[in-house]
Amino acid sequence: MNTLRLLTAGLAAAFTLTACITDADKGVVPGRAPEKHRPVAEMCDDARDSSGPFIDDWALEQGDYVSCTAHEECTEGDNGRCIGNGHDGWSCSYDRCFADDDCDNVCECEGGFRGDFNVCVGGDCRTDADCGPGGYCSPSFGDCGEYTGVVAYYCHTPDDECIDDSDCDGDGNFGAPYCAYNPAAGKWMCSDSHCAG
Amino acid sequence: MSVVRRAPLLLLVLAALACEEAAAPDAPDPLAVDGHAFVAEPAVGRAALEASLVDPTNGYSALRLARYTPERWGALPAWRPRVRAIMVHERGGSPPTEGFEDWWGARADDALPADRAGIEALGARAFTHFPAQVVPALRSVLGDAEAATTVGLIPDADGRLSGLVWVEVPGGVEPALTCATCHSDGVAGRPNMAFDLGAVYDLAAQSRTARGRWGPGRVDVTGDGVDNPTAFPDLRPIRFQTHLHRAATVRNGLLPLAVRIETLMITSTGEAWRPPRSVAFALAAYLWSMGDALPPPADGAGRAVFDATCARCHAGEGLAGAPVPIDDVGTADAVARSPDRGTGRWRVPSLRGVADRRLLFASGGVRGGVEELLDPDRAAAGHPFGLDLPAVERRALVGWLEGL
Repeated sequence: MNTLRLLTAGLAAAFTLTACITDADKGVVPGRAPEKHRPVAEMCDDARDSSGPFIDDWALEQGDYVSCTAHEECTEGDNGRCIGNGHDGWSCSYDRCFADDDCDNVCECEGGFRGDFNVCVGGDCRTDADCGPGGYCSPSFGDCGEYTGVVAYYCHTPDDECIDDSDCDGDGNFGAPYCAYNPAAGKWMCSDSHCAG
Repeated sequence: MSVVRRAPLLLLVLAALACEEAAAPDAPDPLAVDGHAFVAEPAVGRAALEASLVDPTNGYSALRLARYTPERWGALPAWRPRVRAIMVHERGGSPPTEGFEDWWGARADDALPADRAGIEALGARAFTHFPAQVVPALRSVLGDAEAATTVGLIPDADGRLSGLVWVEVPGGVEPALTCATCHSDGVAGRPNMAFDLGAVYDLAAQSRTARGRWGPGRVDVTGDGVDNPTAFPDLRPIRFQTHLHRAATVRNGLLPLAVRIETLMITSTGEAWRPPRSVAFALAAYLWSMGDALPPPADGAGRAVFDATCARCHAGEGLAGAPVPIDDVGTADAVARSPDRGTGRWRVPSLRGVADRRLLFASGGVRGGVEELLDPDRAAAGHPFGLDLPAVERRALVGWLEGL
C-alpha cells in the first residue's frame, strides 16, 4: 500500500510539474525543479563573525556614514555587530530571527544585507509544500537584484517565464539578467534591473 | 424707409450672418490631435523618442531604442488594474480585500477624451490613482502606524496616505506608489520632501544600506550601480524645461514627455505591463498644464539683479536654458556622469516655482532653498553664480526668487 501511494504521489507530482511549468516555447523546460527552492524550513544559528569592524579611516570623517565603531556598541538586539563597507557605510546589525515563526514569512539565515545576520523576508510561501503538490517555493531577489539579495520567497506559477537565472540570457542593462518574482505580474520573470526607477 | 430702400442693408446683414456661420467650426486643439495620434499610431511615439534622445549610447537611451518597438514593449499587455486608496486610518492594519475601484469607468483601454479638458482630467486622476510602481517593501511600514509617520507618509486633505494605493495584481494585492506619492505635498507636482523611500527599503530589509542614506525627498532612480540619488523634482514647471532629467537626457516636448512617462512605468513593472497610451499621454498633458498655476516673474530691483547675474543661463518665460557643461557648474556630479542618464551636461532647470523648493542642486546638496543657495558660506560646493554679490543686491535677488 505504501509503495502504491508513493507511486501514485510520484505520478501526481510528475503530472503537476508538467502542468505547472508549461510552454517550452518560452525556454522553460517542463517538469524541471528550480535550482534553488525550500523543501523544508530551517532553523538559523546565532553564530556571527566577531572580527572587525575594519572601518576605513576616510569613512570616519563622513558624518553619519559611520554610526558605530565597535561591536560592543550594538546592544539593541540579538548578536549585535558593527558591520559595513566603503559603499554603504558602517552600522549595527542584529539577528532579527532564528525560525520562521519569528517572522510573518521566512527567517532567512544569514540573509542580512551584506552580512551574516538573520532577517525576516516576505513572500507567499515558506516551503515547497505551501505551493501545492509538486510545487516549489523559491527565494527571489527584489527590484535591486543582487544588491539587496533575497527579499522574499514565492511559489512558482504555471505562468512563469523562467525558473532559474540560467533561463535568462541576453542583453542585460547593467548586470547579468536574473529570474525573480515580479509582484506586479504575479509570476517569475527575467529581470535585468539592479535598481528600479 | 421703404422695403426697396432697406433691401441692400438687409442683404449686407444676411451676408454677415452667413460669413459668421461659415467661420463657426473651431479648429481642433493641437494637444488633442497629438494625443490621439500618439494613442493610435505607435510610430508617433517612436519618432518622438528617437528625436528626443540627446545621447543614444547611454543606458537610458539604449534600452529604449532597443525595446520601445511594437514587437517588444508595444506588445506588452496594457495595465488597467483596480486600485484602492490607502487611507491614514488604515495604518497598522492588514491589506484590504474589498473596496477596489475600476477608476477608468467604462473607458476602453486606449480611449482618450476628445478635448483638452477631458484629457487633463484623465491625467489628474491617473496622477493620484495609477500605480506607478509596486513596492512590496511598503508593507513593512503600512503595518506599523508609527513607522509610516517616521518615513514621511503623511495624510492629505482627504485622509489618503501620501497618494499610495493598494493595487490588485495576479495572485493578490500589493501596495504601490502613484505619481502623487513623491510629487505632491498637498500641491500636485510639488515634491514631497518628507517622504523617505530609502528608509522604507531599509526597514523592510532590517538592514542599513546605501539607500538608507538617501534621506527624505531623495531617491536613486538609476540602476547604474553608482550611488547617485537625486532630489525629487518639482513637476510644476515641466513645460518650461528645455530637457527632461537633470542630466539633460531627453529634449523636452509633450510627446517626448508622454514617452518618458510610458517607459518609466514599463520599466517599473519589470517590463510585465505597459500603461495604456491614453494614460501616458493624459499624464503628460496634465503635467504640462501645471505651469499655469505658477506665478509669473515680477519686475523690480531683484529682477534687475537676476537679469545681470542669472539670465545668461536662466532665461525667457521659463527661466531655463540650454544645457551647460558639467564642469562649468562644479556641483556634485555623480548624477550628471551617470552611465545611465549622463550626457556630459547639466540641464539648466527652470526657476519657475523655485520658492517652494527646499532641496536644490541635483543631489539635493542645498537644503535651505534659495537663501542658502546664495549664501557665500554655504557648505555645498559649485554653482558659485551670485555668491559674490554685494549684500544688498543678494537680498534683493533672494527676495525676487522667493516670489517665484
